[in-house]
Amino acid sequence: MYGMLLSPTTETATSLLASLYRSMTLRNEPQSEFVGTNQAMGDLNPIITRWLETGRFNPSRYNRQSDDTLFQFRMYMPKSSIADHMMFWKKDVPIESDCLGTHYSRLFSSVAVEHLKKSEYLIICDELHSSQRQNHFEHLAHLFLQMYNLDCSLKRIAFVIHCPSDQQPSQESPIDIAKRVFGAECYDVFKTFCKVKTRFDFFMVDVFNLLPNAHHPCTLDQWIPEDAINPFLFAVSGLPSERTMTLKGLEILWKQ
Amino acid sequence: MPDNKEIVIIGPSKVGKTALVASLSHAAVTLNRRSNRNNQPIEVIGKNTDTRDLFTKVYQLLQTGSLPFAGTHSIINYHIEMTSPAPAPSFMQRLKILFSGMTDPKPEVCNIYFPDAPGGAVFHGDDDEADEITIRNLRNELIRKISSAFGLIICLDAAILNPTVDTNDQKRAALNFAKWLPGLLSEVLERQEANSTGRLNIKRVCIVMTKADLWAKNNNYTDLAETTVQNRNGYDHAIDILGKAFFMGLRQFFDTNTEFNFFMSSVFGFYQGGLQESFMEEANEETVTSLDEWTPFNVIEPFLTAVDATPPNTFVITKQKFDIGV
Repeated sequence: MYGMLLSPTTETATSLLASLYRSMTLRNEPQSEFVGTNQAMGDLNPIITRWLETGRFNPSRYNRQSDDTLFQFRMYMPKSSIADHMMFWKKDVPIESDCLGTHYSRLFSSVAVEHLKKSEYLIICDELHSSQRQNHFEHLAHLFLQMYNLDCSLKRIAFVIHCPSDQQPSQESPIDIAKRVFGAECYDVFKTFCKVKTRFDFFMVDVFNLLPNAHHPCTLDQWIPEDAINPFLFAVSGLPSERTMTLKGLEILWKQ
Repeated sequence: MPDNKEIVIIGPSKVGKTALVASLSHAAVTLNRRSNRNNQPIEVIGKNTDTRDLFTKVYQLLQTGSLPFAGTHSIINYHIEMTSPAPAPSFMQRLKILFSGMTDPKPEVCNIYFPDAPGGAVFHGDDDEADEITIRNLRNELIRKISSAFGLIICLDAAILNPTVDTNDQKRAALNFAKWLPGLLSEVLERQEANSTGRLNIKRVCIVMTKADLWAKNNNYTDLAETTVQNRNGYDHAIDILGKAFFMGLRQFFDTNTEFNFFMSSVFGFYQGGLQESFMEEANEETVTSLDEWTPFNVIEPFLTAVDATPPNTFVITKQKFDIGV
C-alpha cells in the first residue's frame, strides 16, 4: 500500500515516524505489531535514541536523505471480525506500506507527485505551537495540481497536530484545532481532487512525552509517546475513530 | 529445518564477543567431560586460519591471566563448525527405529559466523573513530549472514548492573542497544526474502550476558559467585539492563514460534564455587592456571540452544515471543 507523509519540516515527520515502534507496543495488544522494513526506518533509531540521551532532537545528523525519503513498514493487526476468527486456517497477513516522507521546504519533486498519484492514504502533520505558521492550502494545492488528474486515489487523509500533552487546549476538539492549524481553505483542495467517499480523521499527538520526573538521559521505558500510532492505524489499516468523517462531513464542519 | 543451521553473533563493542567465541573450543571439551559424551561428543572446529589462531591464543589466559584480544584493523570473518548431538528421538521416531531398522539420528553440523571488526561490532553513527567503509562492509556482512541464520546470539555485558556505575551510564549503554539493533534488523528485512509472515527467518534468539562473574564480584557475591550467577534469572537481568520497552520492540521482528533464551555467562568461569581469581585483573601474573582449573560457564550452551540442542542441566531462562517485555 502506498501512502504519503507530508509536513512543513523534516523534524515533524521524522519524530512521528521514529515513535511508531514504541507507540505500537504501548497499545499492549500482542497481535498489533509494527515492523520497520527498510534502512530509512532503521536510521530513525539513532535519532530518537540520541534525543532520549541528550534531549536534543536533530534528524540532520543521521539522515542521509533529507528529502523525499521512502519509509517501508509492516503493520500486523488483530483479526477484526468473527468471520476472520472462524477462518483459523488463514494466516495473518500484514499490511505492507511504502510511505513517502516529504516536506514543504522546496518545490515538490516528480517523485513525490508520482507517489501521490498511487497513494491510498495521506498524513499531513504540523506543530500546534509552530514559530512560523504555514500556508498549507498553498502547498497542498501546488502538490495536487501537479498530478494533472482530478481523480485522486486517496482513500484516507489524516490531520496530525503535534502538541505537548499538557498544553493541549481542552476547550477545542481536534477537528477545530486542525481547522485552525491547517486552514479551512484546505477543504477546497480535497473537494477538487478527492472522491466523496474519502475519509478524514484528526489526531493530537505528543511524540516527546516522558513519564513524570524522567530526565535525559532517560530509558526507552520512560518514553510514552501519546497517540502517535493512531493516525497510521487509521491511514494504513482504516481503523476509524469516533471523529472519522467523509468529505461531506468535512464540508459541514470546515465551511460553516 | 535447514540441514546446516547457521548462527550469527552480534553485540556492541567491548562486550566480550571475541572472548566468547575464542573459548568455544575449550568449553566444548569441558562440557563433553562433564556429561560423559563419548559416543556423540560436541565438536568445535575452526574453519579458517583466523579462527584456529583465535582458539590457540585463548590459552594465553592460563599463563598471563588476561585475554590477548587487541583491536583489529580490518574485518575478520571467524567461521566455526560445531557438531552437536542429534535431538532426542520422539516416541514415534523410536518406534520407527525399532521396527524399520533405521539408524539413530545423526549428529547435526552447524556453522557459526562471527564477523569481527575494529573495536568490535560498530555501526553507523556509533563510533566516530571507526572507518566508514569498514563499518559499511561489516554491516553488509552481518545482514547477509543474519538473513539465512537459524540462531542469533546477542551479547550483552552483565556487569553493567553495578552499584558503582553511574545510572546515566547504564541508561546510555541500554540506549546504545536500542540505537543499532532494530535498525540492523530492519535492514535485514529489506534485503532478505521475507518468510510467509514477513518476519525474520531466525527461530532461536539467545541473549548472552557476558562477564557474569564480574557482575557477581562488583555486587560483592565473591565467595558464592557461582551459585549466585546460577540462581540469577537471566531474563530479569536482561530486563534490568535494557528495559521492557526494548524487548517489546525487538520481538516484533520475529515469528510467533521464535524462542528467546537468556543466559548468564562467564568465559573465565568459576573455581571451587567462587571467582576465578587468577584471571582477575589484580591477579599475580606469575601464577599459571592449569587447563583443568578452567571451566567456562554457559559459553557453548547458548550456541547449542541456538540449534535446538540444549544440554541437560543448562542454566537458561526460555521465553516465548509474547512473554518477553510484558
